[in-house]
Amino acid sequence: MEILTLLKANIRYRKGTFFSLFTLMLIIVTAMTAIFNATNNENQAVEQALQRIHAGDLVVFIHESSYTDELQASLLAQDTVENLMAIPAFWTVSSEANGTKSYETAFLRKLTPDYRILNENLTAHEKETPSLDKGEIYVPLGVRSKYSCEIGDTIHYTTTFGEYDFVVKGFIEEPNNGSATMGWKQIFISDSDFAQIEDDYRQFNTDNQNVGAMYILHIYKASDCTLSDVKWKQQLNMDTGIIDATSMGSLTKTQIVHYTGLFNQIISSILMVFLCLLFIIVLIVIGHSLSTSIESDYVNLGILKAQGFTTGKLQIVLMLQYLFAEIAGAALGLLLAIPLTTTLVQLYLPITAILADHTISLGKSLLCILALLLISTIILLLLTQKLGTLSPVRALSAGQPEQYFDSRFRLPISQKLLSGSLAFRQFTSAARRYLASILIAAILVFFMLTITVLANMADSKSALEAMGYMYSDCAIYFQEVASEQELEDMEAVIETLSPIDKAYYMNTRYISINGYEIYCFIWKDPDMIGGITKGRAPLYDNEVLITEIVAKELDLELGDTVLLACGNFREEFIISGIFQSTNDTGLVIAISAEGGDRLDIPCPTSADFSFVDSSKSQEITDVLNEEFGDILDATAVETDSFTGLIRLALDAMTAVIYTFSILFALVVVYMVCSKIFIKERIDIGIYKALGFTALSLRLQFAFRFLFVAGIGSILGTILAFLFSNRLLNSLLWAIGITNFVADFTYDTILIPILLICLSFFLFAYLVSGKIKRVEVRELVTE
Amino acid sequence: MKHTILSAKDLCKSFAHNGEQLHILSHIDLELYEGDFTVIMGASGSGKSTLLYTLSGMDRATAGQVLYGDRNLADMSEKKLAGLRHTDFGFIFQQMHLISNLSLFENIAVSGYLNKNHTTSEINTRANELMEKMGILHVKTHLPSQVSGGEQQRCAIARAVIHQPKLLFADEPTGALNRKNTTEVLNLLTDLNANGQSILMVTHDMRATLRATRILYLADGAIMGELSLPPYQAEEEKSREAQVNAWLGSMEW
Repeated sequence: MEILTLLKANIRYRKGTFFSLFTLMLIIVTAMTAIFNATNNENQAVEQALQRIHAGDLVVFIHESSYTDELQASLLAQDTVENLMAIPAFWTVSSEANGTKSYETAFLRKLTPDYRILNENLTAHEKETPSLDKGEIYVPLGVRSKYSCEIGDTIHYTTTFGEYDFVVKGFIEEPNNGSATMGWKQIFISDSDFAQIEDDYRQFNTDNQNVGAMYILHIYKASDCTLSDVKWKQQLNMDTGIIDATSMGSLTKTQIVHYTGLFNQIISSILMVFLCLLFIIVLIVIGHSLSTSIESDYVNLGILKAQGFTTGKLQIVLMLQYLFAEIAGAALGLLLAIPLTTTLVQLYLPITAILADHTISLGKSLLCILALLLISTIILLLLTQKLGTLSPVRALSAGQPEQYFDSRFRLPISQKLLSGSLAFRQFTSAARRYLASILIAAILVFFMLTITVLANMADSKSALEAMGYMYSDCAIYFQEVASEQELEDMEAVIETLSPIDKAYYMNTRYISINGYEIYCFIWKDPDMIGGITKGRAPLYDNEVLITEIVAKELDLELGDTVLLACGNFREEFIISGIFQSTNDTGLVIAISAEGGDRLDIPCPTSADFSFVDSSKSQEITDVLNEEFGDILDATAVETDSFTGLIRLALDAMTAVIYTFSILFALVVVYMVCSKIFIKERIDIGIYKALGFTALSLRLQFAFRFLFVAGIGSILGTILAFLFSNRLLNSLLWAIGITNFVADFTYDTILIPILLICLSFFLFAYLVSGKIKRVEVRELVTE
Repeated sequence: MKHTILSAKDLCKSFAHNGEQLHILSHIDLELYEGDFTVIMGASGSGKSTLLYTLSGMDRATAGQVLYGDRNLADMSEKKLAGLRHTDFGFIFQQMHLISNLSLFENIAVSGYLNKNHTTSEINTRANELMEKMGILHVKTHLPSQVSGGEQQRCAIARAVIHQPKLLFADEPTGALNRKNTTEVLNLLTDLNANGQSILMVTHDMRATLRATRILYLADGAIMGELSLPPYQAEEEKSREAQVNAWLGSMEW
């Protein structure tokens, strides 16, 4: 009962602290629970969708002629293979809709009832999957993002043997390749269209070449197989040659889940790291508040001890006071997370193309909250240990001495800058009080700078190129390998319209490295390879570049010899360097055109150009198609809706982090100001008695927090210079960025710093409004 | 003919307490004159400090007027009152109330800096002169916590007069001091008054009262009597004390 009485009194007396902590926990728990549940629900939804369509543990896209009875028998003979399911399909060369053309392969296949259709608003699944009529298709949401197409739009598909127009009837949930993060897409057509295409193909392909027909081959791992998906695929390839000899490409179930949730995972990871930092801020705030409380209540605590309160009881009172605020904030946060989860799931949908459940998992969410509360409890227990050393006699006789000290930074008080110089003195003579605020400002600036650098990366050509990204204004596909003379002629025509900034001539192919299927760039000019972090580009025909991710995945090092295989060709290569690439989430290697010759891979079959004058890209594309239309197909590269989506996600994330940072600044300034205000009430009265106006005293208060924010910002900037790259490397590893190149510009640095300094200054000024209510009369000793 | 520096007309001050109105000051009419060392005496709870702070504009009257020249303090804004404090009025408190993180010199100078009519060097020179006069120049860089109570109060007096106020208000300035420090502080105030400084002091200390040239006796929120005295001379202290005691006796002190 005595604990309850004290607790109620403390909460009443420290309403400001209670509401501040309540607000901070509310923000953290709302965001954390929503992000956790939305991401978790998405992952589960992908897994469930894969189960629903009976997806194999390995999906291989294989030419019809390569899927022989022998291969089938060989696969089924493997102990690690449970079963096979081959779905016939036809691959396309290009597709076009709403003025956007793509050379990414699509697979035209029949609709089966185990796939689900989304309703028109994309908010739920249709109860049944309506069959398709002739000329109609279902496409995954990734196609919608790519072509900005809607129901009723027409998509034009070109195969090696014919061209076909289809009208989009609806959007289908296709978990294998449906997400916006994957290039290849499965397109669902009616049985009659499929029969028509098959007829066309048979008439065209009389000599049974690999020119259009294929299988989407699902391979099911035996239940007793203990190998990971990656190792199993590697083993299967070595035993049957399924990847080396026959595959157009393949995906394990693990890869599918990874690729589908890739961007959600990255966005969630960044926000989760930010929320963890915010929680550290909460702990700092608790620490600061608790130590100042003990300091200011020194005498009262002494009285309580003299009355018989044990250290343990006092600890419980203080701890409960903070924990109640946290629990109340967390409880409301849990409720607010419900609508936010729904919003997040809806936001993720265009990227994952899988509609996830909107509900929150109460058990898991409560576990997360309990973990946060446990950490708080431990911190509170540690911080309240000092109550044990509090002697009632000393507390009652002497009280707690003022903690002012003779600062070495004692700058003179200046008449001209009176408020500023007094503020600086107040700051330096009790800097310990502001330490927590400095740390908090530093953490906020650090993360704001980090996220700004990340968001700016998308607009920074130099930063992207340094990370191995190819900037392209015009993409070209040669119908056959281009000759030197053709390339020279083409460049001469381009140069008449704009100087060429960079020209990349290459071919790309899935090949295997030590039996592991990987995306390979074959470069005509290896010196153009960007993002090399170790070693050098392949100079000789037996050299290969690998990414750090491939090196880690396959346990390889610079100088190692590896076996590259493509079709029936197998050759040894030496690793000459490490580079980074965002293609295929970093699972990429690169060789020279001469190296490609050894594996019978022609080069170049495609080119990408960036022009000095990018505005000419459409004009140049048109001229190239007009003059060289018989040997190539050029496309002007524009920002597609998926890239726009990523841009939007980055901007939204920046906005969220900036908003949270400013909110936290407000709450922290409010809490710290309130504590300082209690301590300095008499000083404020004295200043007022001397003739200082409330305005000048408020400015002094605000200037103090400007110094705090300024020092914190410098610290945060140093932290960002030291750790932003490392943090982003670990967060962006999943998309292939292993050596993030931070492009710190003046804007990047100044905007977050100015925002935090301004917020601290402004909020301190607003919170110090209560100075107006301090009466000089309070100095009177009656 | 004495010149009035501050006057109060029909001054009332009351507080609400547990639903009841407590009348602290009741219809006070009063004039303070230039060059006087006026002391307000009275028992505890008689309203001395309330009167001092109401007259100085630090507290607002419930009714009536406080006139400083032709200006009614009750009508002045907080900003104008603040201006008055750093130009025309000076204050000394019982608990000194020095700014704890400023050195003694800075405590004095900062008050002068507010007055933009003087340059920094003029204020610094005057602060040094005052510190020398008050005998605290040797501790000018010390923080308040590093000096004695007497030194703190002398610093507070120097701070109160750095801007050469027209009227110095002192609220029990010796209340927290020992005998030796009390004498030193009173000597300083007497000296200031001898040099023309008008002072209004609240006290119930007889030794402090003896320094006055005019004593007002306050009881139940009203001025019950007044005694005028010649300027203080140390050698006449005993006869002065007898005169004041006799007068206070007539006031039923």
